[in-house]
Amino acid sequence: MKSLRALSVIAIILLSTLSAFAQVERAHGPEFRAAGAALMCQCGCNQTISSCSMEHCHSAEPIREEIWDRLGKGESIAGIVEMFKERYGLVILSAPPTEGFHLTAWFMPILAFVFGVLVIGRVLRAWRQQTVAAAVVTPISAADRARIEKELQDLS
Amino acid sequence: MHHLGNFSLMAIVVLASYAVVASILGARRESSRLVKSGERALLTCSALSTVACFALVTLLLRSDFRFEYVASYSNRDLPFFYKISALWAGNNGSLLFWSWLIFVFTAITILTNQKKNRELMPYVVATLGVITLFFTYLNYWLCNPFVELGVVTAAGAESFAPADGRGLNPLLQHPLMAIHPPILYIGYVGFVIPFAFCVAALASGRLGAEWITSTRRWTLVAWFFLGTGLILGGRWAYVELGWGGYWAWDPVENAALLPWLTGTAYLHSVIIQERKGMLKIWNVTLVVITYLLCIFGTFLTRSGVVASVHAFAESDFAQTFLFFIIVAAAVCAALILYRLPQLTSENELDSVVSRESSFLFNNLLFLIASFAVLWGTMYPVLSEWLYDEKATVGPAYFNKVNIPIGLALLALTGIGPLLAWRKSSFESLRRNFTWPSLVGVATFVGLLALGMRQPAPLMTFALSTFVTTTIVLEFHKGARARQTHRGGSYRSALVDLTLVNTRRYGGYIVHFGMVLIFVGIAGLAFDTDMKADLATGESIQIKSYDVKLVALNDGRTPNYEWFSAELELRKNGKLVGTYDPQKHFYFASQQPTSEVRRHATFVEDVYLIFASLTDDNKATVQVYVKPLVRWVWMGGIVMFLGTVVTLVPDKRELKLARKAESEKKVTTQIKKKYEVA
Repeated sequence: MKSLRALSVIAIILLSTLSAFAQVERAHGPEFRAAGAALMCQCGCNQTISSCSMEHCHSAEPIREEIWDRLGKGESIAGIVEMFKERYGLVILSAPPTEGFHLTAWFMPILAFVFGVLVIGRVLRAWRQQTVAAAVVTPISAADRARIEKELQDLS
Repeated sequence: MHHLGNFSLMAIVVLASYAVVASILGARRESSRLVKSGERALLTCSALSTVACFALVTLLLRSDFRFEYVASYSNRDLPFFYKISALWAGNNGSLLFWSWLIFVFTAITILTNQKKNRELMPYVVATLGVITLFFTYLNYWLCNPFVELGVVTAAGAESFAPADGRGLNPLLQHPLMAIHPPILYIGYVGFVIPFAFCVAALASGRLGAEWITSTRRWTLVAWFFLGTGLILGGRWAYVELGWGGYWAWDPVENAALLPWLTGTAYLHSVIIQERKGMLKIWNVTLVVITYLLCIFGTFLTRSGVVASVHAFAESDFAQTFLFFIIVAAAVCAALILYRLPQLTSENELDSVVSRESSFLFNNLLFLIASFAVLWGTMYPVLSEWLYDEKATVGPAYFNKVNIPIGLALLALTGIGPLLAWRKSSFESLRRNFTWPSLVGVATFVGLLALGMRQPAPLMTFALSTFVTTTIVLEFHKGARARQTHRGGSYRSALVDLTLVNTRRYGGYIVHFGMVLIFVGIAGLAFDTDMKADLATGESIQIKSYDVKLVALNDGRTPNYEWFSAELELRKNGKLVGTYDPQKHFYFASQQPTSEVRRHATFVEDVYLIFASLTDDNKATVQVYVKPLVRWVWMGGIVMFLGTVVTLVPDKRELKLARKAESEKKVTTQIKKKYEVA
């Protein structure tokens, strides 16, 4: 009963802490964040447009301004990202596109996972078979029995 | 002093070569004298490596700008502490420091194995000798930190010393950055010992539990330092880089994450080999992969193959490094293939629903996670090579690929301990899973009802409470059982339980630390930020906070000039505190940095950045409200404590060691008696 109470207390604490984040308003707006996170800064910082913290960054700041303007005009995130892709090429995207050759970037981890699951399946089956085989008692032949008895007699 | 450094490096090359040859010959001819001389040669190398490091530190402390390394990474006004940390600030110095760490570990290994593992030690010494030889070769011939600056005049080449150095990168002038690299390096380098023992076991054919038992603590220590290094690096990025995050999926960050992931897989799979003698091939492969990934990470950081903000300046030893990795991989693969018949194990499994299966899936997920990270990191190089167009792989890719893997791993962290070895009955599954599942589902439904809709954080919070409940129940059930059998208080039973099986219960504490980290990471989904130009007296509002600019201040130190924005932070109208995020401008490097200020609580961090000063004297202030960040650091501390508990020899181990010791004494006494008779 004590443990039940302790668990309930833990659950209530966790829920009350986490519920504070259930609904939040975004000062910068989710669209702005999504577009910024989909684009890489070109200043060499290796961060997204949203994350680049370089003062007066020649790349991130004008792109941020343009995202604001275009979102304000009602353009979609996909449209904005596509426009930047046409202007800068693939290097502006923070993830490879899901088309053509670049599908390999996305499919390889999935293929590796499927391959791994198949290997584990085989391994588990082999282990099971070994266990079953070991559990089967092989009967001793009459010749073997006679030999063992003789050896035991010789020992005594 | 530089002559001493260069002489030490040269002597190491000679002595390490001798150590390799003497150890292999000693093992072949079964000559203990040769083996011992090989060990002594490598011990001497360790002392010489210390001398070389000491020589470079002395040059840095003396501000001897005749030397390129000193002039590039320090300046006269650099504080004493950072002059020492300049040792690992540049490529050449950090390689010297890296080699020194290998030598320190080598010396400890040799000295602690004078009476044990004698059949393995010649091969261990030979492996360590080859590795140290490679790094010393790089340090002496390709990236020597003792190179003097020179100018070519009509009269010929003359040495040259600038009036002052270029200084240490301002971002590295932070206490965390002074300790983060050494800790990370200890992690990277620490895996060399399990690797050397693994190669020794393969070369000598002694593939029993001996090498695993001897390296278990080494592996744990290396894994622990690598993990701590990663957390400290994240903390440094968070408090120093001023972009409001702690992980950017940068290639250099990924390089350190890769061996940590495979190392974690090994720490789990080795339990199966120790308990059941299974997965022998897999374990040697994992140790080899982990160490090669450590070397690969070093290569990635130093070669300039991938663009990274953390990488050292591009150097020209990429091919040498790659060659070493390929040769090491080929030798290890050949050894594993050669020993394959000896590595087969008796495998037994009664049911797929068992602890063994959960370990296999855990290993699969860790391996897939490391593959996904490696693939994403190298994809820009591959796409340029194969497709002739460079693609960038950033957080959008890594998050999408790794979030499902991370969630599956989190689920397994809870499921694994609830499954029995060999076979779990339906009754035991029902008994073990009821409470954790109920708590997990209740969290999910509760948060859904409260309006949370983002799938990843929802799943993370639900799984976190599920795993936490399993951990709490594991401790509770164990303590209760112990209390029933032995009496005493519940608290003493809990402590006793942990001390009796430190690996198991220390492991649970580590798992709990991971849960906290996952919760902290899930908080990223609720980040809020705002940027505004504020004149004195103006304020902005973000969530329930008001941020008001009170004053603009400035000042200077010998090393830098600073500007600060004094900000008053109020929550729901109530004063929380006054903070002064700063902008530093370093004289030597002519670089600006942001010094952020934070109001941190367990619920959220308010992260304040003084981004810049506008022409009309307004402060550009950026404010982030970042929920649950503190849980990440707290998780790191809990993981630290858990690993310490795991490293403590448990009561059973001590009992067995005492028993073995007394049996040895009895055997010696009997032998003596027979000899006398």
